[in-house]
Amino acid sequence: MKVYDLIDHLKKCPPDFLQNSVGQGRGKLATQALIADIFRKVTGNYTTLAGEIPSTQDITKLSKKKEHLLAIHLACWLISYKGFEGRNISIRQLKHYFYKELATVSEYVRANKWLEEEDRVEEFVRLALQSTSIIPDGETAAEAADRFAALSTIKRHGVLVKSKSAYDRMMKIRKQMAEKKAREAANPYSRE
Amino acid sequence: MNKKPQIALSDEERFPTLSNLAFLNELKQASTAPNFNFESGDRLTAQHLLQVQDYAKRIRTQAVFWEENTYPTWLENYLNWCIQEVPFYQDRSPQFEEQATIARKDICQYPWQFVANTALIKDLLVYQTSGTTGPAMDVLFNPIAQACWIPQLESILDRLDIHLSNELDKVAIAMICAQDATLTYASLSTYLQGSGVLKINLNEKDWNLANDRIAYLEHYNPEILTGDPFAFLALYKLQPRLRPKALVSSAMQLSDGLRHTLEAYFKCPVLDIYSMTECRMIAVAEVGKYKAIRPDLYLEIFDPVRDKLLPLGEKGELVVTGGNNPFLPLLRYRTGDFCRLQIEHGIPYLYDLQARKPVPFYTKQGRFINNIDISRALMNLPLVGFELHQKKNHELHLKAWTNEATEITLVKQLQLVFGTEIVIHCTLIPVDKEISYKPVQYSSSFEMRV
Repeated sequence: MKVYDLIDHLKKCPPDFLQNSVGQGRGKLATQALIADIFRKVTGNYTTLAGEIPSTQDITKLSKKKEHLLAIHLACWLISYKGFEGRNISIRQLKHYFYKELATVSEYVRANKWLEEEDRVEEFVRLALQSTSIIPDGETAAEAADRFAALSTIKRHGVLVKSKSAYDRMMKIRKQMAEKKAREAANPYSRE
Repeated sequence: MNKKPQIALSDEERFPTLSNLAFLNELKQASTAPNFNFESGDRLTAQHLLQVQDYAKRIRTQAVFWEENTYPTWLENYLNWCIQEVPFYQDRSPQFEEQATIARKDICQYPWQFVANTALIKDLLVYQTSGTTGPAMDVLFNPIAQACWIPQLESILDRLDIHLSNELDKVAIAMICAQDATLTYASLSTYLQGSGVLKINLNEKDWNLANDRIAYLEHYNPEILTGDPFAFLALYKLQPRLRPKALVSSAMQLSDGLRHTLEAYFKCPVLDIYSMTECRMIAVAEVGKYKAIRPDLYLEIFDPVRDKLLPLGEKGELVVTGGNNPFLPLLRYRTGDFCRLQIEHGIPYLYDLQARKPVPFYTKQGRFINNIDISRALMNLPLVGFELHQKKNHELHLKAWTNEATEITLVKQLQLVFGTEIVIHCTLIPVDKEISYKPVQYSSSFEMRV
């Protein structure tokens, strides 16, 4: 699978997938059915997944985190790409991707950005590939990891948090340097 | 921002653990006391004091610092700590050999980058150097690093079998100054159990009566006198009847002639200390060499221009690593001073040290001027650096690197120090964007008169 083919596929995601809806009522996107279809299609297991498919209560709970729910919809569309079939992807990998990885990034990125911003589209694609242990065509594992790290919202957020705390610390030091009490200093005992 | 020192504390904040301040009040209120213009305390809390005492134990007992071609045992941990905790060093290699040198300009520009993440900001103190070797610089430190000057001195005095009394009603240390203006105060040392500490200026303007200078000093007879060679020369000329245990000269190299004169008069050892604000004491003079006194300060010699370590015995720029100041941990810091290094029985010695020489200046009327006063007068002007030379006819030649200061301002500032009769020739050199720092250099056709 080539990254650009997946990007192209993701960008063609129908707008219905960005609906915030639960259940199988008329005009609503059936989240539960989508997940079940993807799990079955990707794993090739159509018989023994009953316990792995989220219940209606699970979906209701999930719907309280709108951006995460919508990211799952988008992931279902992305993973429906034929290249994911027959890749030996485990149900554990898929669950981790849907419920952990997407939950984390959704804290920082609104779902529509996954389709609208170039870097976020590629990040979404690469997150899916990394979560399913697939190395894109034309890249080594290290190159794929580097490229993903460069785009990663989580990594970027970590850097920002670090630089924000460094900035806050610098401002505190500069403030203290300006304090009269710091400038009274303490006994020097000799000339330097 | 007003960077000048300011009085801002109560005595309780200056001396958090001393309950008896009677001697402090006596020192301030004595009939012969100078007109003290500042307040100062060591600000040591009980916790700080324990750390100073712990440092004292280590520095006073370590007989071997490091052997030739080996690193001190603490160096690896120190380097890792710097990389982990000090923003300025965070991207550095964990190999000590690969460390690049840093210089004064690095600290001048971003002093906060050198503050360890573990340093408690509430302990931060600022001292602005007067700029005797370069532009004024904010040096950050804490009360512990400051108070550790005393154990550093004790480690030298131990070898001479000299000990401080640590008594409540004695002055342990008096810093003697001889300049136009400086901060003066009476204080106490928590580490020395409440003994007195003085900083006084021998300039008559600071006293009610000129004779009070002698009377006050003789009454309190400080155990240790500290100062620069000019200050000691001025003190000697007053011929006070003092019996100090030692004189500690620093800031400029002490000539053998003046040392002999002072030793003969005060009948005590005169120590010539090589030190700098960035790390306090480094070494003490012995015959023909300086003996390193800090096991916590690793010394190397580098090529003055390139980042190249020179072999032991070769002359180059002294570079220091270590210290005990979490607000300015040094990693290969260029001192700007030149010497050769030899390790003898595990102790480093500096040979042919070319540090600051005393440079005398005079007014047209022949009044001596300490170059500290010149630095003080010029430090607030936007200068990248300057060179000042005085000719035998008293004319001053100033070369200043600046894009902002004018000749009129510079002449005015120098006239505040030398008087309006002095002839001043100014050369202003525009500063290229690349240049952010030029050393300050003083020279004089006069020689120091003992």
